[in-house]
Amino acid sequence: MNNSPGPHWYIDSRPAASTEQMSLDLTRHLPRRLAISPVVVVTDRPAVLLSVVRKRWTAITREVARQFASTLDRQKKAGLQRELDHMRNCRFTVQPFTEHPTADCFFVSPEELCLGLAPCYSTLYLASRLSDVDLCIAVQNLSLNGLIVGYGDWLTGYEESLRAAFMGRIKDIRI
Amino acid sequence: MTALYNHTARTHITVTCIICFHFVSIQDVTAGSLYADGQQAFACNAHLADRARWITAWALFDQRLEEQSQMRALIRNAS
Repeated sequence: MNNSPGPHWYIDSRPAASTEQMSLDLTRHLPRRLAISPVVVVTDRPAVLLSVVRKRWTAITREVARQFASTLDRQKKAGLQRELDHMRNCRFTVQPFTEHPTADCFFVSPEELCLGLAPCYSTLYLASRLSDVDLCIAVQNLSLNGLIVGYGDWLTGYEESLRAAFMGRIKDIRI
Repeated sequence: MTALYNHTARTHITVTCIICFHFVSIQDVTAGSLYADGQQAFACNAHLADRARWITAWALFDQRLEEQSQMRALIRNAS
């Protein structure tokens, strides 16, 4: 627990050698972030990625159930049961927040970003390269201790945009 | 690679992995759940490849936090 205090964004540039590797990494990482608050995934093909993630999600849920069945440790069992309940209750959607406000994970394309994002989310996954403008829209409701996960190394070229967006958010809050 | 972006700039710090408990650079970890006080918890990127260990470790982490918070509530109510 040795993080810096105060508002901050964590920026995680993750490798994306293939779409398959990206979806695998995303699905393994998602349960942790969905335990905190809603998640937004920006991708060129939301419906396709949603279907892949759902399939992988089912496999991970089965893995958790298998681990639950194979342990006798009380604390581990309780933790895995909690994880299972959480994973079974998560709702994924390609619809905008206005149409499906109770969903936990929103898959949107860059063009759909302006249709309305959840009022607050702690994690933003960027599975496709965004323009400066789209990136600013995507981070506008990201919480001030949020995480931006970018697949590929393109995010490093957007430091100025992120800095401006971050400073804008801080300023809004101070006002 | 993870980096912390705060008021001033992108900064690199050392954090503790909740799976192996080693101190590691923030560049070698990924953010997961939160500690009870709202601080970010991390685990080494390398552990993400070991699906079984990754799932169990985080499930245990969340469970311990839940139990600690229940215990704190009990103590608060009793006093």
